[in-house]
Amino acid sequence: MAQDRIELPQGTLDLLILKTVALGPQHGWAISERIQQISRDVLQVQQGSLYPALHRLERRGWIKASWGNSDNNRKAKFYEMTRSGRKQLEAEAATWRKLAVAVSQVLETV
Amino acid sequence: MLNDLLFRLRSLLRRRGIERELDDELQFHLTHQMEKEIQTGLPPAEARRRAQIAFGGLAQTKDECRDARGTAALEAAVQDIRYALRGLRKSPAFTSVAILSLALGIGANIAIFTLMDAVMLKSLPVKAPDQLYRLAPAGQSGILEGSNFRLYEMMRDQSRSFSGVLLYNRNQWQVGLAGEVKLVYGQCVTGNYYCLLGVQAAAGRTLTEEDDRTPGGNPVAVLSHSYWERRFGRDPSVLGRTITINQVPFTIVGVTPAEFFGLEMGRSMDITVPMSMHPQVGSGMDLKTGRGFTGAFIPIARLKSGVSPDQATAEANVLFEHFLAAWMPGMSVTSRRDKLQRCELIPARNGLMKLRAQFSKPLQILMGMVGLVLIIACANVANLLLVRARARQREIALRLAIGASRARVVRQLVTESILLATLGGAIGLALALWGARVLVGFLPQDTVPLTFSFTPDIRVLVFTAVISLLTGVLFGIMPALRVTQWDLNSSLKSGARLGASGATLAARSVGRAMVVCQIALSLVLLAGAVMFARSLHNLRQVDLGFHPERVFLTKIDFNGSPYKGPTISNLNHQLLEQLKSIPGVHAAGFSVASPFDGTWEGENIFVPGFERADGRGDEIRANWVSPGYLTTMGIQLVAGRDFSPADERGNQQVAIVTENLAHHYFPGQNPIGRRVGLQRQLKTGPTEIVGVIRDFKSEGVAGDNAHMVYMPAAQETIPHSRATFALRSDRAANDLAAAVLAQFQGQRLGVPIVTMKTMRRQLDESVARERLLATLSSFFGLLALLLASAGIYGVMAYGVTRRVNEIGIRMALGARVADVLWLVLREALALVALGVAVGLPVALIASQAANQMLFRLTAEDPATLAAAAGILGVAAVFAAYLPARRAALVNPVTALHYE
Repeated sequence: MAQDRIELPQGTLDLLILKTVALGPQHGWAISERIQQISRDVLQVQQGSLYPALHRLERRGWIKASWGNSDNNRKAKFYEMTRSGRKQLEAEAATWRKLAVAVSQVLETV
Repeated sequence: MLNDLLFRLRSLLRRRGIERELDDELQFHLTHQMEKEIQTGLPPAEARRRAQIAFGGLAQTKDECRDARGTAALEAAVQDIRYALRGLRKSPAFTSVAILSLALGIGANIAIFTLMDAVMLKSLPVKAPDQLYRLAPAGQSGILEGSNFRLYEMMRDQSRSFSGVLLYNRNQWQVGLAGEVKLVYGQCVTGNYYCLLGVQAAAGRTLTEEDDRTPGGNPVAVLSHSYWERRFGRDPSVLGRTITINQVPFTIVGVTPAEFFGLEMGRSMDITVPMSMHPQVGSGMDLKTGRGFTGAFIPIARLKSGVSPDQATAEANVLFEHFLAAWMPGMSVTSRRDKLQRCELIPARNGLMKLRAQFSKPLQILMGMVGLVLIIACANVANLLLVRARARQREIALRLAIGASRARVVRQLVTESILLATLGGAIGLALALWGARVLVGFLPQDTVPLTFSFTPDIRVLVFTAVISLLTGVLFGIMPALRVTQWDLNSSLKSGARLGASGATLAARSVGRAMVVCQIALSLVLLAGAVMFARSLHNLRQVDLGFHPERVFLTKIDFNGSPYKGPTISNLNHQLLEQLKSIPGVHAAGFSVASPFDGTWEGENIFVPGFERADGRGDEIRANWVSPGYLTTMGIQLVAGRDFSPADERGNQQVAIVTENLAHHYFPGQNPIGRRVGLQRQLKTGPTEIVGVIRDFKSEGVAGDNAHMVYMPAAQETIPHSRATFALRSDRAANDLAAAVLAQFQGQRLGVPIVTMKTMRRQLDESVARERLLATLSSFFGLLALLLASAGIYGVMAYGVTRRVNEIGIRMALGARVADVLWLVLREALALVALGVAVGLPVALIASQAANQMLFRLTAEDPATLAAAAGILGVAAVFAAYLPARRAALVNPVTALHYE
């Protein structure tokens, strides 16, 4: 199983985080779990690397953070989408799709 | 972008809170992950281990988070600044010398830049000033200052290139308020003036088209903000009040904003009235006759957006041709060629200014000079930093050894130098703002003082910031790079030992190279200073033909007063008697024109045997004076007599002429008693020459002596409205001014005093440009010399410290005190020689820029360069003497133990 996991291509972590946060406010751990689940454990994300990405996205103004209570009533930092984040997500997703299509076309024609 | 910066700043300011939150957040994640592992049945310890593995390095993640928040760089900068401040505090001598050098260098730059900004760069505070152009007829003899009303009308009504054309007419008025009359600058403007410029009233309203409709029907006035402040103390109830302008009552309707002075820079238009009132307050001339061009009558056009100045010029010239055909038929070929060849569009975005043409070049030269001063100051500070870095070499080596990156250490050192430059810049700005005010004192003062706003505008502040930053980087980066390059190991090993390591030698050679540079640049500055000072000295040596010292001038103007014709002459003679009675006044007289006041008039002379083909007389200069005037001014009578009270209207017309005139028309003969024809006296018969005076400088020290004729003021057919009273007295100017004022007020004439100043001041103002250049270049030359001397001293002192050992050995081997002294002095002189060799060609090339501004002197004059080099040599000997002395006092035994 482990050898089937792939390293995340450069820059895609941001896209995944934005997509995850778009579903509703989440804390860091939940985001990391969600990414693992959705990608059916194929993508290997070092949990720690998530946080610098979150802080960077916050600085850009694409997500915003606030403190709230988690399910088991502990204080946790929740991230939620901003309007400019949503635009960014659309733009990045579109780029990604184009890239994916282009790459697969190239691969098929050869 | 802004968002990003705010985020970073917030992160920085709330650093502790943010750190704790980061801890909490990551801890929350680990706890959650651990609980998840426990649920799968693992023991807590193993669960924690797995959670930690899945997470990765905690400290590293935190670091990355800080980076991601963008605070790392800022934090490092704050750290660097703190560290630098601590370092600077620890060595106050170094810090104060460095900051002082920089403050002087940067301050000089800001001061000159502020003046340049005020004279050359500042835009008018109006809407889109770039679109404004002055419409000026021009020909081969240059650009005409004024214009013509019909030409203005044609441009306004027929041009498609302009969105509007306005016209203003500047004037000096007798303005009466509560019984007191003062001379004020004012202007008549067309109704579209304020609207076209986009200037709103600060109080009340501005003038409109409506005000300009009925001729003579709208006696309304708008005040400038500064006049409102000076004369009314910003009293808001001024609106609706009445003032008289040349005895015509006007109602005040508004005040313009504080930053708006009118369209002329340096001269505030204090009162503005509609053009429709021009016949009532103007010079009595009908501006609408169409003929002639009046100097004080200036059209300004606003270009439509999208129209290029070239297109507009082409169209304006077509209209100009129409105008000439319609209104100037039969114009002579010469006046067409010399004066009315074409119509030019002159950019008016900076406003119009007489001083600009005269002072632009000197200011540029001075700007170049202060640039050099700053480079010399930078070299000094760089040298200081190098020596300091050498002392800190071990500390730096240690930091590099324990893993600080070179970039980090360089950044740290450069932070220190930028900090120095910033402090220097701040002090420099304060010095400059004070200095700029002093500098304005050099500009010739008009009737009304020059009004420049010296509030440091954004351009000056940006200039300060940029120049400080550049300075900091310039002198900081080189030492920083060198220090961090030095060999780590040898530095650490050699420790505190002061051996001649490679680093020391390198530092010394760089230090010397910089001193050579400083000397070369100082030579350039000193050569400039000596050159301008000699030029001014040459001007001062000129024989003026009179004695300007201890003469006090008071100028009055009857223009706009109720007095006319002979009354004026009688009043002047009465006033003269009053002034003579002031205690301490040895002699007194009055004249129409006074030396260097720019009001000399031409007169045509007809002498038998010198008739010209065109029937006109030769042009000479004329003045009308009272008896006693010549004595008062110290003008020497060579032959004949002075005017007497008997030379009055009705008696024989008399005149006194200058020697050169007498020699020209009556060579080898006695001119006394000869008769000549003078244009203005032709009706009253020929004029008899009764006296001859020495040649006289009337219009400029540098000019030639004109042929001149003096006539008694009492015999003037139509007396001039102006007169300048000259008093010769040993009393202080302020005392005299008060006494004269008291006499005038006692008379209750309602005639204003235009100016009061000493003859010396009037003379100085006529050579204002030369004085500005000579004084400032001497000051900057001295500053350069001081800085360069400090540089020489520093390098020599450092050299002596390094060579204590060698000197000790030499002395042990029998060298005498004089030998050691010479050893050090020789080195200093060698540096000077090298610097002079490098600087000479530069000085020669640079001085060419000033060639046209020199009086009886060429830029290549060898004496100038020799003097500059000599001054440098003497300064170098002084600067090197102290270290040399110290070297000579070295005790060989101690020196050898030193090792």
